[in-house]
Amino acid sequence: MLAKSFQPCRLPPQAEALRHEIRDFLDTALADYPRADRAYSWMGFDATFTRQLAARGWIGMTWPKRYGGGEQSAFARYVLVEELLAAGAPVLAHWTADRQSGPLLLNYGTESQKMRFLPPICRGESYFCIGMSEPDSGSDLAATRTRGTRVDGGWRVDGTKLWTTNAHRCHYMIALVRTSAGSERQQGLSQLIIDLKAPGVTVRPIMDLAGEAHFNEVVFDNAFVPDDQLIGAEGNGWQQVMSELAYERSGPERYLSSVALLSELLRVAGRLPGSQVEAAVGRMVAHIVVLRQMSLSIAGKLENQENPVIEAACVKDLGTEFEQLMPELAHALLDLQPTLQAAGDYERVLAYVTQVAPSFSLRGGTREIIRGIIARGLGLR
Amino acid sequence: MRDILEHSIQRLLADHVTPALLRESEKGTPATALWQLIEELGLPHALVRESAGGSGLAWSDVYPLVMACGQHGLPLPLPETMLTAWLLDQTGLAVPSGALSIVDSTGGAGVQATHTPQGWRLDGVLPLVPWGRYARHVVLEVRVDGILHLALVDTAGLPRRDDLNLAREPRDSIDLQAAPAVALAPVPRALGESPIRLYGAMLRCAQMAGAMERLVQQSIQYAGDRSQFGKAIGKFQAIQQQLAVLGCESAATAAGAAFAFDQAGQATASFAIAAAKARSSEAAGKAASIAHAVHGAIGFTYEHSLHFMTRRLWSWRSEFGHHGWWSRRIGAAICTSGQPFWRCVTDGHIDIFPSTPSPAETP
Repeated sequence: MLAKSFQPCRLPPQAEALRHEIRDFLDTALADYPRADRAYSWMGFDATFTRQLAARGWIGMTWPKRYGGGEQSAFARYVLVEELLAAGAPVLAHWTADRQSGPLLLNYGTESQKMRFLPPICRGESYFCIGMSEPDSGSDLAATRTRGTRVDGGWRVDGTKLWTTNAHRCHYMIALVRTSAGSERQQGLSQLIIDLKAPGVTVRPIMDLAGEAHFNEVVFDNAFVPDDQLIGAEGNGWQQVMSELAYERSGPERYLSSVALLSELLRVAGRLPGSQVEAAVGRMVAHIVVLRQMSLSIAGKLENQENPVIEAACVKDLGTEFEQLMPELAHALLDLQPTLQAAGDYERVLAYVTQVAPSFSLRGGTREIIRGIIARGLGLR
Repeated sequence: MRDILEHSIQRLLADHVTPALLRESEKGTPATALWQLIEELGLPHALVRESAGGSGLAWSDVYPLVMACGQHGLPLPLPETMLTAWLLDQTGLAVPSGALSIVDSTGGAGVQATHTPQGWRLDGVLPLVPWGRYARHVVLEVRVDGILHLALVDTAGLPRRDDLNLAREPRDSIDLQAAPAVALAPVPRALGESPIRLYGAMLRCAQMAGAMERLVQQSIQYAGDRSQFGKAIGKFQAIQQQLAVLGCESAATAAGAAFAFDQAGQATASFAIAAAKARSSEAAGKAASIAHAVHGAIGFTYEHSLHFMTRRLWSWRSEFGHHGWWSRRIGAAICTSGQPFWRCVTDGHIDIFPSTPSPAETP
């Protein structure tokens, strides 16, 4: 079953060597970044930081040089990503483009699309978001209704995408759109690159329960998308979207989103915190060590051109369970009240993580959908 | 190499470790014929250097073997014998033939070693020796002038208090009564400060991974066979969601165990094994609980074979250090290091066992 699917994968020495360079960079670049803000993790947005990373060649670092990339190994990128997340670096601006949109374009895009879209991503100037969910299509992605109607030179897009992370700051959305009128479910879907500044596109930020605006409603009203912004084959959208998921679900962001809490907990606890804190810290770290090995093992499979969808779903499910367990453990441990303007970083981080934790098992596929995928992998469906 | 080894051990155990054999073993009849087959394959000395007559395999090579022992519930001390032989060989001591075992005396009163004109004499009680009644030779840790040593004792004729773990595997306490040490030598530095607890824990991680793998297989099979409300219960989302969790816990245990075996013998071993044992011991209870929920009342009978795995999980999770013990060790090591936890995770060189034993250590 799954027991043999996670073979140990050692990072190559070149990737490990990069780790020190990254840490030195982060020590300087984030010297003034407040500790409490690091809890935003990959929801932290900072265009200046993104450009600094780009200047180091750390956006699109695995992509071909002719598109602005660095042609480094996937393991080098793995090390970069885990170091950024562990430090709580504000990576949101380029996050989706670097993780998903760029690789998607490399796989399915035309040469002119690659030449047009990839270099600005690598320069840290062009941001992408993913348009999947809709008002009537959440977990049930195949219920997508946003439609693209064939017109001269392209498509007219009408419909609404919902819960689109970072759309209000992005230049482009890669949207899953129904391009065959009357098609059902997984058929007739295509991926379009939509310019979010184009006429007919309205982006409305939605305030979340923590008072932050990370996700959006994006309305398309007769928005024109030219022919050359179709990705891959018309009607092949479902297959293309599915191939992105192993990348989206197995990365270090699936278990490192709330580690700022552990860092602050350790700072408050000190060197001799007593057995209860030691046991809780050890429990958290044991989870992190094992999740990291699972995630690395999948990185090894992706590097070998495998598509470990089920394994990625396991990491996603275990990772989000763990990320949600962290604030619960912390609450039970220290008698410190989380408040929004607390003087202590620990209390502020706990306040933030407690509020955003429910989103961990919603974004990137809900817990129930993910477990359904695993059950299918076990032969139950 | 690994594949051949795995294939042959899987076949051997699938053919021989039947529910009937497990029941006989639980009644106190040792599986002597199977042990002979295992010895003929040279498995007990798989980790002993070739120059000392063994197969010279690495821990990472034998991970599938130890996992298979767990998966079938092998009622014999093969993992313990392999570990004992490896420890003796690494310490430069000769490896006796037959079944061997080790004793984890962490937190116990400890054994006193006294030098006499006839050699070293050992006094104290060896608590809960795995398969103690069948293992003629047992290896233990003892401090001589503050330095950690391994001692080998011949337990023939020594008074024993027999006990069983929840899986009815022998866990026998042996009173040394100033028995002579067959051999005694300082532990090589590379093995660390508490090699028996550490590597014993590693064995249990792989065995738990095997047992959980079996739970996954058995539960999926049962969910497909058993019908209620007019369909196989595995078609209900409530069951599917639970089995997905079982699959994940099993995968996490296996990933941790594989990582631990990969790091064995290196400076990073103690941190990897500690994390694996803490994580798998947490998973064990959850996995057993789901498997029982899916199986319903039939799985609670002695007649059904499910309990051979679940009772092992309930036992193994607390042997060689339970979840809390290892978690606390990891936490203490991280806190006292004063380093960001992430650096400890990535370089893995953090030592779980402080070099001076703490007198305040509680079991």
